[in-house]
Amino acid sequence: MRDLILTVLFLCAGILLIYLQTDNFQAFTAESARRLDIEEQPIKLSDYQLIDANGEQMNFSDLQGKTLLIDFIYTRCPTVCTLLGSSYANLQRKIIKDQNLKNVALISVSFDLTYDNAAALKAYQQRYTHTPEQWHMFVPKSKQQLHTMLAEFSVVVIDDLYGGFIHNSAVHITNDAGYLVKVTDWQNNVELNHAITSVIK
Amino acid sequence: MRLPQLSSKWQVSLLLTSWLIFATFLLPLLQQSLLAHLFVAIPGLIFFGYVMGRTILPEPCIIAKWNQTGIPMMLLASLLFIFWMIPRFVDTSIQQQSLYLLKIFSLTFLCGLPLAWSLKKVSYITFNFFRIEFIATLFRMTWLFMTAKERLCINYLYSEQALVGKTFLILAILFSVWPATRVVFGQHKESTQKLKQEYSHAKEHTRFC
Repeated sequence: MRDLILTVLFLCAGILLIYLQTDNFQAFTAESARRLDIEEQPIKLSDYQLIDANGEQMNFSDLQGKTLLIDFIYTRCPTVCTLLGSSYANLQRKIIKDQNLKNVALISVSFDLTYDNAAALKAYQQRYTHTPEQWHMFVPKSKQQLHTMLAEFSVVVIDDLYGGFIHNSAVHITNDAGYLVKVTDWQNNVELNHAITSVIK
Repeated sequence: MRLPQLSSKWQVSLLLTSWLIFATFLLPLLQQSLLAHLFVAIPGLIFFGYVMGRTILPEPCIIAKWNQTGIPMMLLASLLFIFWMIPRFVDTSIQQQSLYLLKIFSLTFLCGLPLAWSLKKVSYITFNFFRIEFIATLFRMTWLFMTAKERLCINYLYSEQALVGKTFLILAILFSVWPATRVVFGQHKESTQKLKQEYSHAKEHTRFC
Protein backbone atom coordinates (compact mmCIF):
# COMPACT_ATOMS: atom_id res chain seq x y z
CA MET A 1 0.00 0.00 0.00
CA ARG A 2 2.77 2.39 0.98
CA ASP A 3 4.54 1.49 -2.24
CA LEU A 4 1.49 2.40 -4.25
CA ILE A 5 1.22 5.80 -2.58
CA LEU A 6 4.88 6.53 -3.16
CA THR A 7 4.70 5.33 -6.76
CA VAL A 8 1.75 7.58 -7.54
CA LEU A 9 3.50 10.46 -5.76
CA PHE A 10 6.68 10.03 -7.76
CA LEU A 11 4.73 9.74 -11.01
CA CYS A 12 2.82 12.96 -10.33
CA ALA A 13 5.98 14.73 -9.17
CA GLY A 14 7.87 13.60 -12.26
CA ILE A 15 5.16 14.76 -14.63
CA LEU A 16 4.87 18.06 -12.74
CA LEU A 17 8.62 18.59 -12.90
CA ILE A 18 8.73 18.05 -16.64
CA TYR A 19 5.61 20.21 -17.07
CA LEU A 20 7.17 23.11 -15.19
CA GLN A 21 10.63 22.82 -16.68
CA THR A 22 9.49 22.61 -20.30
CA ASP A 23 7.08 25.54 -20.08
CA ASN A 24 3.90 23.49 -20.07
CA PHE A 25 5.26 20.77 -22.37
CA GLN A 26 6.01 23.31 -25.08
CA ALA A 27 9.77 23.59 -25.19
CA PHE A 28 11.74 20.35 -25.26
CA THR A 29 14.69 21.86 -27.06
CA ALA A 30 16.84 24.78 -26.00
CA GLU A 31 16.03 26.66 -29.21
CA SER A 32 12.25 26.53 -28.74
CA ALA A 33 12.78 27.39 -25.06
CA ARG A 34 14.61 30.59 -25.90
CA ARG A 35 11.99 31.59 -28.48
CA LEU A 36 9.20 31.04 -25.99
CA ASP A 37 11.07 32.96 -23.26
CA ILE A 38 11.65 35.93 -25.52
CA GLU A 39 8.02 36.03 -26.63
CA GLU A 40 6.74 35.93 -23.08
CA GLN A 41 9.27 38.38 -21.72
CA PRO A 42 10.96 40.68 -24.24
CA ILE A 43 14.58 41.44 -23.43
CA LYS A 44 15.94 44.97 -23.28
CA LEU A 45 19.10 44.90 -25.33
CA SER A 46 22.13 46.78 -24.15
CA ASP A 47 24.20 49.12 -26.26
CA TYR A 48 26.85 47.44 -28.40
CA GLN A 49 29.81 48.99 -30.16
CA LEU A 50 29.79 47.82 -33.75
CA ILE A 51 31.86 48.45 -36.85
CA ASP A 52 29.90 48.80 -40.07
CA ALA A 53 30.74 47.88 -43.67
CA ASN A 54 32.53 51.21 -44.21
CA GLY A 55 34.84 50.62 -41.29
CA GLU A 56 33.16 53.25 -39.12
CA GLN A 57 32.23 52.64 -35.54
CA MET A 58 28.59 52.86 -34.55
CA ASN A 59 26.60 52.30 -31.42
CA PHE A 60 23.63 49.99 -31.46
CA SER A 61 21.57 52.68 -29.75
CA ASP A 62 21.96 54.91 -32.83
CA LEU A 63 19.41 52.64 -34.50
CA GLN A 64 16.83 53.03 -31.79
CA GLY A 65 13.39 54.08 -32.91
CA LYS A 66 13.40 51.60 -35.76
CA THR A 67 12.04 48.10 -35.99
CA LEU A 68 15.05 45.90 -36.59
CA LEU A 69 15.40 42.44 -38.05
CA ILE A 70 18.74 41.08 -36.87
CA ASP A 71 20.49 37.92 -38.00
CA PHE A 72 23.89 36.51 -37.14
CA ILE A 73 26.11 35.34 -39.99
CA TYR A 74 29.69 34.86 -40.97
CA THR A 75 30.70 35.69 -44.52
CA ARG A 76 32.61 32.47 -45.29
CA CYS A 77 29.53 30.36 -44.61
CA PRO A 78 28.51 28.23 -47.63
CA THR A 79 25.14 27.19 -46.30
CA VAL A 80 22.60 28.92 -44.09
CA CYS A 81 24.09 32.42 -44.18
CA THR A 82 23.75 32.53 -47.97
CA LEU A 83 20.07 31.67 -47.60
CA LEU A 84 19.74 34.33 -44.93
CA GLY A 85 21.37 36.78 -47.32
CA SER A 86 18.92 36.04 -50.13
CA SER A 87 16.01 36.24 -47.74
CA TYR A 88 17.22 39.62 -46.53
CA ALA A 89 17.67 40.80 -50.12
CA ASN A 90 14.00 40.00 -50.78
CA LEU A 91 12.94 41.83 -47.63
CA GLN A 92 15.11 44.78 -48.53
CA ARG A 93 13.51 45.11 -51.96
CA LYS A 94 10.15 45.17 -50.24
CA ILE A 95 10.98 47.79 -47.62
CA ILE A 96 12.80 50.14 -50.01
CA LYS A 97 9.81 50.27 -52.33
CA ASP A 98 7.31 51.15 -49.62
CA GLN A 99 7.57 54.66 -48.16
CA ASN A 100 5.69 53.58 -45.02
CA LEU A 101 8.46 51.17 -44.13
CA LYS A 102 11.17 53.78 -43.67
CA ASN A 103 11.52 52.84 -40.03
CA VAL A 104 12.39 49.22 -40.66
CA ALA A 105 16.02 48.19 -40.93
CA LEU A 106 17.73 44.86 -41.58
CA ILE A 107 20.87 44.10 -39.62
CA SER A 108 23.36 41.35 -40.31
CA VAL A 109 25.94 40.88 -37.56
CA SER A 110 29.01 38.76 -38.14
CA PHE A 111 30.40 36.78 -35.22
CA ASP A 112 33.60 35.80 -37.02
CA LEU A 113 36.00 38.42 -35.68
CA THR A 114 39.04 36.76 -37.25
CA TYR A 115 38.06 36.92 -40.92
CA ASP A 116 35.20 39.37 -41.20
CA ASN A 117 36.40 42.93 -41.52
CA ALA A 118 34.59 45.83 -43.21
CA ALA A 119 35.65 44.74 -46.71
CA ALA A 120 34.39 41.20 -46.19
CA LEU A 121 31.04 42.54 -44.96
CA LYS A 122 30.74 44.77 -48.00
CA ALA A 123 31.57 41.87 -50.32
CA TYR A 124 28.96 39.70 -48.65
CA GLN A 125 26.29 42.33 -49.05
CA GLN A 126 27.18 42.96 -52.66
CA ARG A 127 26.46 39.34 -53.45
CA TYR A 128 22.80 39.99 -52.80
CA THR A 129 22.03 43.64 -53.43
CA HIS A 130 23.26 46.79 -55.19
CA THR A 131 22.40 49.18 -52.41
CA PRO A 132 23.07 49.10 -48.68
CA GLU A 133 19.95 51.14 -48.02
CA GLN A 134 18.11 49.97 -44.91
CA TRP A 135 20.33 46.88 -44.62
CA HIS A 136 23.27 47.40 -42.30
CA MET A 137 26.19 44.99 -41.95
CA PHE A 138 28.05 44.99 -38.66
CA VAL A 139 30.83 43.22 -36.85
CA PRO A 140 31.25 43.74 -33.09
CA LYS A 141 34.17 45.88 -32.10
CA SER A 142 35.76 43.43 -29.67
CA LYS A 143 35.48 39.87 -28.41
CA GLN A 144 33.87 41.12 -25.26
CA GLN A 145 31.18 42.97 -27.21
CA LEU A 146 30.61 39.84 -29.28
CA HIS A 147 30.17 37.69 -26.18
CA THR A 148 27.75 40.17 -24.63
CA MET A 149 25.74 40.25 -27.81
CA LEU A 150 25.64 36.48 -28.25
CA ALA A 151 24.71 36.01 -24.60
CA GLU A 152 21.85 38.50 -24.73
CA PHE A 153 20.47 37.00 -27.93
CA SER A 154 21.14 33.45 -26.64
CA VAL A 155 22.96 32.54 -29.82
CA VAL A 156 25.31 29.58 -29.45
CA VAL A 157 28.17 29.33 -31.93
CA ILE A 158 30.21 26.13 -32.20
CA ASP A 159 32.96 24.95 -34.53
CA ASP A 160 31.82 22.69 -37.31
CA LEU A 161 35.12 20.81 -37.67
CA TYR A 162 35.62 22.18 -41.21
CA GLY A 163 36.91 25.59 -40.19
CA GLY A 164 33.45 27.11 -40.14
CA PHE A 165 30.74 27.53 -37.56
CA ILE A 166 27.36 26.11 -36.73
CA HIS A 167 24.92 28.40 -34.98
CA ASN A 168 21.22 28.52 -34.22
CA SER A 169 20.42 30.83 -37.11
CA ALA A 170 17.24 32.80 -36.88
CA VAL A 171 15.87 36.27 -37.49
CA HIS A 172 15.60 38.30 -34.30
CA ILE A 173 12.98 41.03 -34.30
CA THR A 174 13.27 44.06 -32.05
CA ASN A 175 10.70 46.77 -31.61
CA ASP A 176 11.33 50.51 -31.69
CA ALA A 177 11.92 50.68 -27.93
CA GLY A 178 14.97 48.44 -28.20
CA TYR A 179 13.34 45.27 -26.89
CA LEU A 180 13.92 41.89 -28.48
CA VAL A 181 10.36 40.72 -28.99
CA LYS A 182 10.46 37.71 -31.28
CA VAL A 183 12.77 35.13 -32.78
CA THR A 184 11.65 33.43 -35.96
CA ASP A 185 13.03 31.41 -38.88
CA TRP A 186 14.15 33.03 -42.12
CA GLN A 187 11.71 30.75 -43.94
CA ASN A 188 8.78 32.04 -41.93
CA ASN A 189 7.57 34.69 -44.37
CA VAL A 190 4.30 35.23 -42.53
CA GLU A 191 6.05 36.29 -39.33
CA LEU A 192 8.60 38.43 -41.13
CA ASN A 193 5.96 40.26 -43.15
CA HIS A 194 3.94 40.79 -39.98
CA ALA A 195 6.96 42.23 -38.22
CA ILE A 196 7.71 44.61 -41.08
CA THR A 197 4.16 45.80 -41.60
CA SER A 198 3.53 46.30 -37.89
CA VAL A 199 5.27 49.67 -38.20
CA ILE A 200 2.39 50.85 -40.33
CA LYS A 201 -0.10 51.92 -37.71
CA MET B 1 26.43 -9.62 -10.06
CA ARG B 2 28.15 -9.97 -6.75
CA LEU B 3 30.07 -6.97 -5.53
CA PRO B 4 32.60 -7.18 -2.73
CA GLN B 5 31.67 -5.60 0.56
CA LEU B 6 33.98 -2.63 0.87
CA SER B 7 34.90 -2.56 4.48
CA SER B 8 38.37 -1.11 4.52
CA LYS B 9 38.64 2.63 4.48
CA TRP B 10 40.97 2.86 1.53
CA GLN B 11 38.51 0.99 -0.71
CA VAL B 12 35.70 3.33 0.27
CA SER B 13 37.87 6.37 -0.32
CA LEU B 14 38.99 4.88 -3.67
CA LEU B 15 35.38 4.64 -4.77
CA LEU B 16 34.56 8.15 -3.67
CA THR B 17 37.69 9.61 -5.20
CA SER B 18 37.09 7.92 -8.53
CA TRP B 19 33.52 9.26 -8.50
CA LEU B 20 34.79 12.77 -7.79
CA ILE B 21 37.43 12.54 -10.51
CA PHE B 22 34.82 11.30 -12.96
CA ALA B 23 32.40 14.06 -12.02
CA THR B 24 34.84 16.96 -12.09
CA PHE B 25 37.48 16.13 -14.70
CA LEU B 26 36.11 13.45 -17.00
CA LEU B 27 32.59 14.83 -17.35
CA PRO B 28 33.53 18.10 -19.10
CA LEU B 29 35.69 16.09 -21.51
CA LEU B 30 32.89 13.64 -22.19
CA GLN B 31 30.43 16.46 -22.70
CA GLN B 32 32.36 17.67 -25.74
CA SER B 33 30.69 14.96 -27.80
CA LEU B 34 26.99 14.16 -27.76
CA LEU B 35 27.72 10.44 -28.15
CA ALA B 36 29.97 10.35 -25.09
CA HIS B 37 27.60 12.59 -23.16
CA LEU B 38 24.57 10.37 -23.59
CA PHE B 39 26.24 6.96 -23.59
CA VAL B 40 29.21 7.30 -21.26
CA ALA B 41 28.69 10.32 -18.99
CA ILE B 42 25.10 9.71 -17.88
CA PRO B 43 25.39 5.90 -17.50
CA GLY B 44 28.75 6.45 -15.81
CA LEU B 45 27.22 8.58 -13.08
CA ILE B 46 24.40 6.09 -12.63
CA PHE B 47 26.95 3.27 -12.43
CA PHE B 48 28.85 5.05 -9.65
CA GLY B 49 25.62 5.52 -7.75
CA TYR B 50 24.77 1.86 -8.27
CA VAL B 51 28.12 0.70 -6.91
CA MET B 52 27.72 3.00 -3.92
CA GLY B 53 24.25 1.62 -3.33
CA ARG B 54 25.47 -1.95 -3.35
CA THR B 55 28.54 -1.39 -1.18
CA ILE B 56 28.78 1.64 1.05
CA LEU B 57 25.27 3.11 1.15
CA PRO B 58 22.73 0.35 1.81
CA GLU B 59 19.06 1.16 1.94
CA PRO B 60 17.98 2.92 5.14
CA CYS B 61 15.06 1.35 7.03
CA ILE B 62 12.71 4.28 6.47
CA ILE B 63 13.04 3.98 2.73
CA ALA B 64 12.89 0.19 2.87
CA LYS B 65 9.48 0.43 4.57
CA TRP B 66 8.14 2.50 1.69
CA ASN B 67 9.99 0.52 -0.95
CA GLN B 68 9.00 -3.06 -0.21
CA THR B 69 8.29 -3.98 -3.80
CA GLY B 70 11.10 -1.87 -5.21
CA ILE B 71 8.76 -0.14 -7.65
CA PRO B 72 8.82 3.47 -6.33
CA MET B 73 12.59 3.66 -6.41
CA MET B 74 12.75 2.11 -9.90
CA LEU B 75 10.23 4.71 -11.04
CA LEU B 76 12.29 7.52 -9.53
CA ALA B 77 15.42 6.25 -11.26
CA SER B 78 13.63 5.95 -14.63
CA LEU B 79 12.07 9.42 -14.41
CA LEU B 80 15.40 11.05 -13.67
CA PHE B 81 17.12 9.09 -16.42
CA ILE B 82 14.53 10.26 -18.96
CA PHE B 83 14.68 13.83 -17.63
CA TRP B 84 18.40 14.20 -18.29
CA MET B 85 18.01 12.76 -21.80
CA ILE B 86 15.62 15.50 -22.93
CA PRO B 87 17.60 17.70 -25.41
CA ARG B 88 16.81 20.93 -23.59
CA PHE B 89 18.35 19.69 -20.36
CA VAL B 90 21.31 18.15 -22.15
CA ASP B 91 22.02 21.70 -23.34
CA THR B 92 21.35 23.56 -20.12
CA SER B 93 23.44 21.13 -18.08
CA ILE B 94 26.41 22.22 -20.19
CA GLN B 95 25.60 25.91 -20.13
CA GLN B 96 24.63 26.41 -16.49
CA GLN B 97 26.86 25.49 -13.57
CA SER B 98 23.97 24.92 -11.17
CA LEU B 99 22.28 22.41 -13.44
CA TYR B 100 25.60 20.69 -14.04
CA LEU B 101 26.04 20.05 -10.32
CA LEU B 102 22.40 19.08 -9.97
CA LYS B 103 22.84 16.51 -12.68
CA ILE B 104 25.84 14.93 -11.00
CA PHE B 105 24.11 14.62 -7.64
CA SER B 106 20.71 13.60 -8.91
CA LEU B 107 22.07 10.93 -11.25
CA THR B 108 24.37 9.46 -8.63
CA PHE B 109 22.19 9.62 -5.54
CA LEU B 110 18.64 9.76 -6.83
CA CYS B 111 19.07 7.43 -9.78
CA GLY B 112 22.00 5.11 -9.10
CA LEU B 113 21.33 4.48 -5.41
CA PRO B 114 17.60 3.72 -5.75
CA LEU B 115 18.40 1.49 -8.71
CA ALA B 116 20.82 -0.52 -6.59
CA TRP B 117 18.35 -0.80 -3.70
CA SER B 118 15.44 -1.84 -5.88
CA LEU B 119 17.12 -4.27 -8.25
CA LYS B 120 17.95 -6.53 -5.33
CA LYS B 121 14.37 -7.02 -4.27
CA VAL B 122 12.26 -6.25 -7.31
CA SER B 123 10.09 -9.10 -8.53
CA TYR B 124 10.74 -10.85 -11.82
CA ILE B 125 7.66 -9.34 -13.44
CA THR B 126 8.52 -5.80 -12.32
CA PHE B 127 12.08 -6.17 -13.54
CA ASN B 128 10.94 -7.28 -16.96
CA PHE B 129 8.35 -4.51 -17.14
CA PHE B 130 11.03 -1.91 -16.56
CA ARG B 131 13.34 -3.69 -18.96
CA ILE B 132 10.71 -3.63 -21.71
CA GLU B 133 10.05 0.04 -21.05
CA PHE B 134 13.77 0.69 -21.24
CA ILE B 135 14.01 -1.00 -24.63
CA ALA B 136 10.95 0.96 -25.79
CA THR B 137 12.59 4.18 -24.62
CA LEU B 138 15.69 3.35 -26.62
CA PHE B 139 13.53 2.89 -29.72
CA ARG B 140 11.71 6.16 -29.04
CA MET B 141 15.01 8.01 -28.69
CA THR B 142 16.16 6.43 -31.95
CA TRP B 143 13.08 7.78 -33.65
CA LEU B 144 13.55 11.20 -32.09
CA PHE B 145 17.19 11.62 -33.03
CA MET B 146 17.02 10.05 -36.45
CA THR B 147 13.92 11.83 -37.74
CA ALA B 148 14.50 15.35 -36.39
CA LYS B 149 14.95 17.77 -39.29
CA GLU B 150 16.74 20.41 -37.24
CA ARG B 151 19.38 20.32 -34.52
CA LEU B 152 17.82 19.33 -31.23
CA CYS B 153 20.79 20.26 -29.05
CA ILE B 154 22.25 23.65 -29.88
CA ASN B 155 25.61 22.78 -28.40
CA TYR B 156 26.21 19.89 -30.78
CA LEU B 157 26.41 19.34 -34.53
CA TYR B 158 23.72 17.78 -36.67
CA SER B 159 26.07 14.97 -37.70
CA GLU B 160 26.52 13.98 -34.05
CA GLN B 161 22.77 13.83 -33.70
CA ALA B 162 22.50 11.38 -36.61
CA LEU B 163 25.28 9.25 -35.12
CA VAL B 164 23.52 9.19 -31.75
CA GLY B 165 20.31 8.08 -33.43
CA LYS B 166 22.07 5.16 -35.08
CA THR B 167 23.74 4.19 -31.79
CA PHE B 168 20.38 4.19 -30.04
CA LEU B 169 19.05 1.89 -32.76
CA ILE B 170 21.95 -0.55 -32.34
CA LEU B 171 21.57 -0.55 -28.56
CA ALA B 172 17.82 -1.04 -28.78
CA ILE B 173 18.27 -4.02 -31.09
CA LEU B 174 20.96 -5.55 -28.87
CA PHE B 175 18.91 -5.12 -25.71
CA SER B 176 15.83 -6.67 -27.30
CA VAL B 177 17.71 -9.53 -28.93
CA TRP B 178 19.52 -10.56 -25.73
CA PRO B 179 16.48 -11.92 -23.85
CA ALA B 180 15.38 -13.65 -27.04
CA THR B 181 18.68 -15.53 -27.23
CA ARG B 182 18.29 -16.55 -23.61
CA VAL B 183 14.88 -18.00 -24.34
CA VAL B 184 16.10 -19.77 -27.48
CA PHE B 185 19.06 -21.34 -25.72
CA GLY B 186 17.01 -22.99 -22.98
CA GLN B 187 17.43 -20.82 -19.94
CA HIS B 188 13.70 -20.30 -19.73
CA LYS B 189 13.28 -23.29 -17.45
CA GLU B 190 14.77 -21.24 -14.65
CA SER B 191 12.51 -18.29 -15.38
CA THR B 192 9.37 -20.42 -15.53
CA GLN B 193 10.32 -21.81 -12.14
CA LYS B 194 10.81 -18.29 -10.85
CA LEU B 195 7.45 -17.22 -12.26
CA LYS B 196 5.75 -20.21 -10.61
CA GLN B 197 7.38 -19.32 -7.32
CA GLU B 198 6.31 -15.69 -7.61
CA TYR B 199 2.76 -16.68 -8.51
CA SER B 200 2.35 -19.13 -5.64
CA HIS B 201 3.92 -16.70 -3.23
CA ALA B 202 1.60 -13.93 -4.40
CA LYS B 203 -1.46 -16.19 -4.19
CA GLU B 204 -0.54 -17.18 -0.67
CA HIS B 205 0.05 -13.61 0.32
CA THR B 206 -3.30 -12.34 -0.94
CA ARG B 207 -5.29 -14.90 1.00
CA PHE B 208 -4.60 -13.13 4.24
CA CYS B 209 -5.59 -9.65 3.03
